[in-house]
Amino acid sequence: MGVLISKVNINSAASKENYQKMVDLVDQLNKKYQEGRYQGDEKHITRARKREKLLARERIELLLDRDSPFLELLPLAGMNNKNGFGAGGTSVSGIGLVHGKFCMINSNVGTRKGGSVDYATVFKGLRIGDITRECKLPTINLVESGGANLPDQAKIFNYGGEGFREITRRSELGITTIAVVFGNATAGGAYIPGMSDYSIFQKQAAKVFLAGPPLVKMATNEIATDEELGGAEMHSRVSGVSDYLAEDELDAIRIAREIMEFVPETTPHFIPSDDIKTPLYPSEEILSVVPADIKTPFDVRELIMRITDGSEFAEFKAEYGSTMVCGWSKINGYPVGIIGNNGVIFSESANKGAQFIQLSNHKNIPLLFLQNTTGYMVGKEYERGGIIKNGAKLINAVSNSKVPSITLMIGSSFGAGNYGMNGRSFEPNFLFAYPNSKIGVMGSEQLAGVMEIIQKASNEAKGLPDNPEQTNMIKAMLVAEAESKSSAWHSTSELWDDGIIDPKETRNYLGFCLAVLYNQEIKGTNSYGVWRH
Amino acid sequence: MKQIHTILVANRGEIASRIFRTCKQMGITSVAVYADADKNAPYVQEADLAIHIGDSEPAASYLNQDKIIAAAKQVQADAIHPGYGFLSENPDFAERCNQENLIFIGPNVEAIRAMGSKAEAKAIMEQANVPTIPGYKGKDQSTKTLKDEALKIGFPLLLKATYGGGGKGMRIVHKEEELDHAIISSKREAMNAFGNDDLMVEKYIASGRHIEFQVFGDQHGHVIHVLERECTIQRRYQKVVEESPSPVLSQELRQRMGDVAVAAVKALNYDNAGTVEFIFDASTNDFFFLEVNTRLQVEHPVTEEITDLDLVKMQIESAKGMPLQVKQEDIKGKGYAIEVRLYAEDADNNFAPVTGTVHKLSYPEVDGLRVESAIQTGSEISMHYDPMIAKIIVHDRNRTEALNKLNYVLKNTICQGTKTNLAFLQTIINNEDFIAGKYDTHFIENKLDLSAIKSLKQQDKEELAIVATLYNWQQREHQRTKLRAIPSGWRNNFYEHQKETLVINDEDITVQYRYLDAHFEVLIHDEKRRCEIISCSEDSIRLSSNGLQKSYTICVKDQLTFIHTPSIGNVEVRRLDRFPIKEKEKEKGGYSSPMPSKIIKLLVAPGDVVKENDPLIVISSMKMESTLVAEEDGTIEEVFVEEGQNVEVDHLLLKINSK
Repeated sequence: MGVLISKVNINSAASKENYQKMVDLVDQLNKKYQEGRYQGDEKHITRARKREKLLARERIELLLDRDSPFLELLPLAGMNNKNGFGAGGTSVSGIGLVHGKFCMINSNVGTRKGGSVDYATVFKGLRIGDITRECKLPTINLVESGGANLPDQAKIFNYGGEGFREITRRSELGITTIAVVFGNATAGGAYIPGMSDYSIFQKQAAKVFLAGPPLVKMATNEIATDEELGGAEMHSRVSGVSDYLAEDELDAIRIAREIMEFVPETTPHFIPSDDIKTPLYPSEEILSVVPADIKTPFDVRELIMRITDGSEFAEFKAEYGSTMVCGWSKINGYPVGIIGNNGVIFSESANKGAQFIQLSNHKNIPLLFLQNTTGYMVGKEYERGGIIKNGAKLINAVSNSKVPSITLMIGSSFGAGNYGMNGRSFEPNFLFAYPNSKIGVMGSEQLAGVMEIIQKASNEAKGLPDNPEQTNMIKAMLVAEAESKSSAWHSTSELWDDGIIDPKETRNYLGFCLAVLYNQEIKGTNSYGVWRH
Repeated sequence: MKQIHTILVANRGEIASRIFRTCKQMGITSVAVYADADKNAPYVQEADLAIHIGDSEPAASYLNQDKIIAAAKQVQADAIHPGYGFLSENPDFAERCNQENLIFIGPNVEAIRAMGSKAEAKAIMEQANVPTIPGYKGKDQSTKTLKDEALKIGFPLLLKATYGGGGKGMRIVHKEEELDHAIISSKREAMNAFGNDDLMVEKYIASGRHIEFQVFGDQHGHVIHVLERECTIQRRYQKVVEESPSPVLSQELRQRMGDVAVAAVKALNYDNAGTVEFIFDASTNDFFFLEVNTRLQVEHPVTEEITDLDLVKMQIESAKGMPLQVKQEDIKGKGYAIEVRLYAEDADNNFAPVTGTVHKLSYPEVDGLRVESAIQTGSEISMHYDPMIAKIIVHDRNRTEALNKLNYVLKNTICQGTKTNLAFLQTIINNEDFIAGKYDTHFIENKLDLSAIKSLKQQDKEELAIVATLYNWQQREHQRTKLRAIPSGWRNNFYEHQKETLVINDEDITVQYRYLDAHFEVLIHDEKRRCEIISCSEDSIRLSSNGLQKSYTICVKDQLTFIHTPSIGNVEVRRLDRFPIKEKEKEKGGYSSPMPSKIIKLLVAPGDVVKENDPLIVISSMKMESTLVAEEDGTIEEVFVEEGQNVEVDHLLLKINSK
């Protein structure tokens, strides 16, 4: 395979300046991650400790195999939500190994707002459900939640049901769900253990009922205690809602692991051999070569050579449609077809991309999209050249592609370029973003410029005088608004990605996801929508 | 002269191996006998032939004369070598061999018989002018006679009840003024305890040393001595350290004692190998005869090392009737040799023997080191026999160098799987008084702090906890299948370190670690270390901790990790399960065997009413008997074992209903 050679001077002033800007962004990211690790205030944590309860993240650490890597997903979901519970919501979710098997783990943060579910937490759960189904991952829910956050209930009620629906649909597909109940799981929440294939209730801790003592008193005038209504012993010995009665938290986790021992595994499509080459360039250099400012152009090969095994890249159609870089390589030994943007997409670029997607489907090779595009080329010449028709081909190919895919936002992601390059709505199996990346219909300045022109035209049509002051004010507001709404921070808060990542860790993220994607059969398609030639 | 083509060794373990070695060198066919427990023992493999002689009980095998004679006949052996212990000093067996036309490799029957009786031995020695411990045990028990005899003997002296034992009626008297009172109270105590107030008076040797002379005779009346061995370091009457030459003997004294030793055995018409034991008073240079051991001693290699003689070969030659090949004047000691006995035992639990499997056993390669090993890697230490693992003998130019070398050898001896007295031996040979040669038979109880032997420094424990953690990590790392290319324990949102808890000497130590780019950040409490695995195999690991590199030998059996490193020794580290299954409550009223043992006697039967502290059952482990007593009042509900049964540790023996 061809080896990519860097053309960037890592020691130039520009590289160093870029590096520093990226380091600042990574520092910001780490700070947000730290905020997301918040598990409630001191008072609640102390209370939990006193009752010998483990915290949500500690439960995950214990449930995982020793030394298992763990990929946390959507750690910053909802972080900019003014009425929400903060970064990550009240659940910690991610993929790791339990008894040597890939599992999705969801752990309610019972010490943060009692584990109540806010808007972001609901949608995070639904997104996790998608990944779980697509990757055929057994799920282990570590339950301790007070149910819906009441101020959000109207917004989330209808979506909340999806979570329960998905548990049983996965069960129908043979994908296991285990619920380990350490505390509250009441009302709707009771259906998490209720729908799961296996339920484990912790003695003297699990509280699972449709209605608690006050509601029961109101409804039927019956007087009942928590334990009588929904204690672990009652559910294990009488109702049968609980399948396993756990002595304590450790015992509950032990039982979940014991169950996992007998959950059958999917058959991996491919297992790489042991000798895996590392890239020729240190991952730290990604911070120097990927521009912090999206307006700075860069050759996507400079990133590719820093994430593929041995910096190898079998490039496809190198001389054609040069703004779309396509080729096959391996990451951690897993073959992957890489499509990266070198700027704006022309007709040739779109056609090349569509062909590459078809070929990868033909050969059953997963795809990696490296998004850095301001969109499709505009202008008379390009419209006449059928940029719409050719762009549609790319979107057709992406939409109907059946091989697993990962999308990585490394810079710009504007306009239909986002669609053609497998954006969120095209359901890549995983989507991650660099902290410098931007997303939107168009760049904030273009957006403001367009608005200015429209404003002027509108004033002219109405016969109003030009008001540059007002126009500038509107423009500034628009730029600020567009800027903040197009930032990676906003994007991740809105769950438009599965996480913002430290670019240095790109290879580990991709290698991890590929291992998950390759853990089942991969079968591409030969069937697409109608092509307009 | 008789011919010997085939020798059957009526013994086991290291001494059998030792004898086979000489047989091979002499071109003699060697035959091993073995009991069930020894089926796979190294010595059995080493013999040219091996014959099974019964179950593991010594009485049914190694002590069973009929079986041994039959075995010898079966292989047409010419001779039987009895080794030491078992039948080696049994005159009836020697006689039986003679009758069966088998050469008994040892002294003549009369000599064995004579030395078997302490009284007879002492009488013979007194006649031959061999100094014996002065004493009086006459019929005249008047206070005046006792006093006169006492004054004749001199102080300090010992008053003992003639028919007593166990220390009752015993008094050490240092001054004449104490004598009257001591005689009266001793007599009263003896009368109360034994119904007879007869007393013996004996010289008391306050600071005695045990020095013995190797002697050798042939069937033609020649006797020589082959220098001394000092065996003063003893515990519970068992020798632990043996050395030669003795650090307290002058050449003149050596010669005098040697002459006495020769005179002593000449009085017995002695042939073959023997040992004359003396108690030596370092304060006066007086020495007194104790006994003659009519066998090859455990510690014979010490003598061989300083003389280059093969005592087993000499025994065989002597038994054939060959005259002694060396003369007294040819016997010259060269350098210094020391032997220590490596035992599977618990030094800080009153040297209780321990059983178990030795998963790994190895000794360093050092010039002048000789190891007589009873077992090898993988061997089982059985409850039926003496728990000796090996004799470690070091020879060098002088005592200082030999002790340094021995210290190195002990540090580098790896014995994993069972407790051993290695640390205890190291404590002895590093003791200042021992190094100075100033010690007596009370050295171990008076000079050593046995409770300190097992204790490890906190930093050593932490070091070992890290070793176990990283070794276990490495084993898991080898076995990874999924996500192999992702760094161990990788987190995109790091929360806490990986944790492993180890138990060392009953202390829990939690090691926190995080794998980072080919090294580990390790935390114990709040102390951070940077550790790196330099290399690792199945049974070893080399680590660097904050830059200091060290190697460790490792053996894992289930939850136990045995670690050896020269600076710390052999240590057992227990891994704490991440999810410990709650220990079942102790069976109420149940009594279990504290160690692997044999049920000697049942003292109770179902239905018996017992009170707290009543004896229930007598068990025996490695020849040590102990009695289990009731911890509560109650009725025996059920007995789960029968007499003669062998049980493993924690076997339920009986149940008491205390209602």
